[in-house]
This record gives sequence, structure tokens and C-alpha cells, in this order.
Amino acid sequence: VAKFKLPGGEVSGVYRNGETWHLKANADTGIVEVNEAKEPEIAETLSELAENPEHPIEAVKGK
Amino acid sequence: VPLTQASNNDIVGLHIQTNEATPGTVADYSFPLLSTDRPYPTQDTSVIQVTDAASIQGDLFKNAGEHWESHVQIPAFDAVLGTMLKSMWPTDTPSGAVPSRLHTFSGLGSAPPFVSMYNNFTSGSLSETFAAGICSGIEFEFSTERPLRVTYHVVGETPSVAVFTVTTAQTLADGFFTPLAAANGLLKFEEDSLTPITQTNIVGGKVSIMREVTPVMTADGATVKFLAQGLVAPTVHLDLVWASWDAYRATFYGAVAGTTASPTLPSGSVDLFFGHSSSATSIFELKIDKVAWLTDPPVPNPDASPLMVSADLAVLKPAAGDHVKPLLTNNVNAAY
Repeated sequence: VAKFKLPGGEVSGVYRNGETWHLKANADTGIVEVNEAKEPEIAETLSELAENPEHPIEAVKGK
Repeated sequence: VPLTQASNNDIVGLHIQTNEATPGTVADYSFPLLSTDRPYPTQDTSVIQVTDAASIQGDLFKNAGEHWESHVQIPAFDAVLGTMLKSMWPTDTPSGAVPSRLHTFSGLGSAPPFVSMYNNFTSGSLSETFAAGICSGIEFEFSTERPLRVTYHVVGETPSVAVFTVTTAQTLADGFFTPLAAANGLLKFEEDSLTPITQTNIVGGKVSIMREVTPVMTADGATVKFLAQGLVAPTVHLDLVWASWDAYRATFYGAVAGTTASPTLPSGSVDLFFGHSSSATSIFELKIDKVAWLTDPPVPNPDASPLMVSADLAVLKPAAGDHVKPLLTNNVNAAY
């Protein structure tokens, strides 16, 4: 499971087939967990954004 | 009495579909248009000619693949702009709290959501739903004479006559993004000049992010079932009142302090901020981290009009993130 800190508590995106997805973080921690096996596209998108220092999403180390 | 009714009542709706197969009947937003370019169905025909001596003309044949397109122009309304941005930058990461919620859009060039557009010929009472479209371009044009103007291009699969409702109707009373905010534009003419310079001499400009969408016809149906996406093509044009030789020297002499012809083009950056006509907390920013400045030599005019600098900027791949980064700060809490 990959963990990401969402500064605004949520993130939305689109799968490669055009279907939309929407994730909300835990209200207390601001962290969302993504199962890389079940949701590889979301995990890939959030990982790429977390690598960009300008983007507000942060990867949370330690699985 | 044979009066013709005024026919300027034309409201268009926009909706982000959850998937391709679900067009929906509720527009997220509706808005009036600046232009006559409403969403419209389109089709092609062929003429079939056969070796029949009795025929003096060919027969008309309707090609497969009726589809729809949109090239609507609107003032840059605040809330609906996020929906349009999402159809080109599909990931929205909001942060901060309303009314200054910052929507950071990303993912330019990846798979976009399908959109539905809706139109109501109020004068003639015909409602149409245009489903399963893909954004083929967004253009932002600003000048001193009008609000920031958005041209929204979509190519879609399925037009139909169907009624719709609207969640949020945007009107001129809601306000719109104005040409430029007070600190309007931060320009950098070469990467080595580390501090972007605030420019107050920008007269107008246009930022276009186009991505061709080709409807692919198949022989088995009346409407298109495949939309082929092309490459992303961002372009920027800026008109500046002459204030310095920086852009000109960077273009031809390789640096703002350059004195000799340069074998290479330096890269700079553009950061444009658009304020809002009625909401001080709404800001729209277009950030382009890496561009090559390609200015025309300024030309003095015999009529003594001001010296102008016209620049076509080549957008380059930045160190991180998208080529063009839209940042929308507004009162919309949920992620688009």
C-alpha cells in the first residue's frame, strides 16, 4: 500500500479509459492509502505528482 | 403580426462524465456564449456515381460517423473554468480552504475524462445533449477590451435531442476573470536571470493548449465510437509595449545582456495572473516554466505610435510537471 498526504484532503483524476476517480484522505491524518495492486493507475499518478517538488501531494514513506 | 423574435438566448451546459457510456442528463454548469459557436452535430456525405446512362447526376450517400463538435467562446467564468480545465488536465489536487481553495490541475497529455455538452435553443425550444466528447483544445485570450476569453474545443461521439437540467447556472452577474491582475505577469527572458521580472507592459496575448481529436469512423453505426487523440500543442503569443530590449536580445543575442549572435536560444518562463471582476479571492494563474522567446524586431512607425514587441513563445518541456500549469483559486470546495 502506498500512502500519500493530500494537503486539501482529496484528489480527483481519470483512468486511461476515461472513467473518473475521486479519493478522500483520512480526515484526521490527511493521508490516503492506495493499494498499488488494485489501483495501479492511481498509484502511478500520485507517485509521479509526489516526485514533483512543486506539486502539493507528498508521498508518505514506510508502507 | 409577423414579428421575428429576438434569438440571442442560447445557453450551453457542460458536464464531466463518470465514464464514456454515461452521458448524464444534468449539466454541472451552464453558461451564456460570447460567440455564435454553439455545440453542433456534424456529418459528411458522398456522391455515388454509377455507370448508368439514365442518371444525369450521382446519388447522395450519407457517410457513417455522425458526431459533434464544440468551439464555444465564453468569458472566463470562475467555477465552470475548473470543469473545462479538468477536461485537459485530468487530475485536480485542491488545497487550502474556501473561498481561497487552490485547485492544482495536472496530467496534461494523459487520458482525459469524457464530457457532455448541452444546448437549448430557447427561441425554438429544442434541447440537445452532446455526449462522450473529448476536449481538443482550450484557448485563453486577453486584451484590454474584454474579459479573459476562453475558447473551448470539444469533439464528441453522440449527438441527440434530449432534455437536460442544470446544477449551477453561471451568468455575467457571477463575474469573470479580467484581463490581468494587478501583479499581472512575471516574465523571465533567460534561465540565468534567476528572478522573474514583474511586467506591467503586457497589452494582450493568447495561450493555446490544443490537442487534436480525430473521430474515427467505423462502418457499423450512425455515430462515431472511437476518438483518436493527437499530440499536445501549446503555444503562447504576447504583445508588449516596449520597455526594455531584454526579450529582443534574448531572442537574437542569446541573453538579455548578449552582444553577439547566439547559436542557441535561451529559455525563460511566463507566469500570468488573472484577477476576478467581483471576487477578490478568485485568481487564475497560467504558469509556463520553460519557453523560448521568439520576438520580432520592434519596428518604429512613421506615425509615432508606441514601440511594440510581439513575441511568439515556443513552449518547452519543463524540469518538472506539465508544460502549461493552470492554477485556479476559487470558492469551489470539492475536487473537480
